Amino acid sequence: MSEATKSANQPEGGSKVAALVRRELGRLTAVASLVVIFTFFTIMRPVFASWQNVSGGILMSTTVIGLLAIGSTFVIITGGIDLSVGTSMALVAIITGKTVMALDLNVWSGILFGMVVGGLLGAVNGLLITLLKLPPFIATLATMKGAQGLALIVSDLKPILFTTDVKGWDSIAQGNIIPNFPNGVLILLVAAIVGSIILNKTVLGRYTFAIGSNTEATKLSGVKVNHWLVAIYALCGVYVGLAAVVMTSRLGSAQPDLGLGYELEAIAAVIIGGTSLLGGKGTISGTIIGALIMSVLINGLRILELQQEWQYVVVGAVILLAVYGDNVRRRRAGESVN
Amino acid sequence: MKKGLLSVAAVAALALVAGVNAPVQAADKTLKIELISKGETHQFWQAVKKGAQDQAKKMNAEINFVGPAAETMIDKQLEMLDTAIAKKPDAIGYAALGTTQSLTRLKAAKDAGIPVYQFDTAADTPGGVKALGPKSDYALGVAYTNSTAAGSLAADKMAALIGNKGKVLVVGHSQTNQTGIDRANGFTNRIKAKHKGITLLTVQYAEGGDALKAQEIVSAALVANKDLKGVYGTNEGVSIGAGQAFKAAKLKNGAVKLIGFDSGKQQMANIKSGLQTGAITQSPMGIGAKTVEALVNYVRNKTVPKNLIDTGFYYYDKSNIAKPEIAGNLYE
Repeated sequence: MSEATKSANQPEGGSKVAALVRRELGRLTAVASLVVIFTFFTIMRPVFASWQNVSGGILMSTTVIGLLAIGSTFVIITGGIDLSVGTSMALVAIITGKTVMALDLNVWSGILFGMVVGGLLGAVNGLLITLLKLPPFIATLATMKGAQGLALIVSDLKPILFTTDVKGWDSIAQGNIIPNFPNGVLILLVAAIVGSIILNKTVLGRYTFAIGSNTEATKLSGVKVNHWLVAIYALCGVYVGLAAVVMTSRLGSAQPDLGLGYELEAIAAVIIGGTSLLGGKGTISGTIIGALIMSVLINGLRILELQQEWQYVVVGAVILLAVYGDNVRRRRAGESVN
Repeated sequence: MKKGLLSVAAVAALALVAGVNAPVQAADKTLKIELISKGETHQFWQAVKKGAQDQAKKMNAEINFVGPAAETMIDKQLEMLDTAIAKKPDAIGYAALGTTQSLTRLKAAKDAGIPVYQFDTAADTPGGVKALGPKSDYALGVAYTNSTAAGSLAADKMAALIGNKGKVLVVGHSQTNQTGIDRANGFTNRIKAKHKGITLLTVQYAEGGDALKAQEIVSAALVANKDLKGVYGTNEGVSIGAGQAFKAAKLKNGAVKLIGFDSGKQQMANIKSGLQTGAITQSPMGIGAKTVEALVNYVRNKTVPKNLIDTGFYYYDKSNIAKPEIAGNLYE
């Protein structure tokens, strides 16, 4: 854990329990909002809480944005941003589709391939930021555009169809290793746990926080910040690659123009989950809760058949409320705010 | 107007200088035509481009076909229109995305003496399509699929498929683009007028034809309405997403009817397999070809084109997907 979060969580009176409560409060308020929204929709339409809707509707809808958001969490904790995750996902989907079809790869090689390609694209972001010393916003805006164009070029503007040609590709997301529990959701869960371990128990995670808290101090203490930044952006890319695989499995095809705008939904999930845009602070569990709040909300509004234009307004209002509420709590706790 | 006179004078002067050969050269000159479409990614636009290219080759014209990456990028497309006008081509074909924002540009093209014929979607010009023609400040006309009528045909097919009763969900691909609006309204208005036994759920939109969003919308609708009888999707992406939602919910083929729009490899495979019931196809190659034909004839022979060229549409399903009149308009 970084110095900043340590000091922010330092108990004033010395009670460890109070510190723990304070530390978990952010996550608890997010969970509480999730429960409130969920309960509201369940009362309005009990079928909302059915397992078919929770698994196939809500959780499944969280898979793609959730994976993109986990990757984005690492980047945002460093104080950076990755605007390219949406269109990079499209590009990975297209490249993976083409390759899997051309080389007749099996499902496992296909998944691995997608993650590697995603990782490489992420590394390009990291190199642009560290070697060319570009602000992450600019560097990833450029790669966002580049990936969008390349996805169209590589695909020759045609979607790439999987299901009929690649055996089992659709079961990556839609199969059930655990009965009645879609594999896509299982992938998200495992990816979140792995992400959480990397963030909290490894050197990479430690430096992610350190760079976000104080890049200069981290540099001065002898850490090769640039190397670690490339690794962090590459890790984000690996999650983007996995999101691409899950997306193509859900659709049975890779769509060259599907992904633009997803970066903003991912960033929204991260911020609702309590990660600071200023860097130095954040959790994977918070991000997952943030992504769930978004998908519960959107799914519920669809089930209530609210007019689409009002759906947008409600989603905007909830993002505002969630982040504002979190900021109020943090000001009280003396932490940095968004 | 003055500019117009000036250019006539300039052409006349050139003809004098060049002597007898001038008219022959004018006829032989390869016409340069800029076509600004609404998108590039969906194969529909590729088919329009193909139709335009084939026609251009036949008529000694050269086309430059451009379009924004997504059908939501109105600003991008308007920039492309500005660029096209600045290049001073012999003619411009334009598919309106910004149905009102493009008006000043169309006027600018007219002032610059560049004839414009619209395709797929007309801009929202004063007086409507009827007022289009050589005298219009905006365009000569529009070659398009009557999307409202196509939506109505989908409604009649849906009504027949579900025996005129039950719940139907419409998933649109755009709340702002005219084609999207017409396809959805053509369907819903027809149902309300002619098929009163059918209950329409609130229209939902997978903006930009996002297949993943369409899948999520249809999944939610299947949960909320166990008695859902049919889904109508207004473009290729939406139809693909709806089909995938059926698959994820493990519905039996045909349990819920799905009528889509356009074609593409996956949608056609879904129709052949029975996952999807059928779809409406336009004649995209016809749209491209008719647009180029109208422009070349106007520039070269001063033939005034009709202000409205309906390029047609068809309903297809498993039974007629391979027939030549259908297959020619389908694209993978």
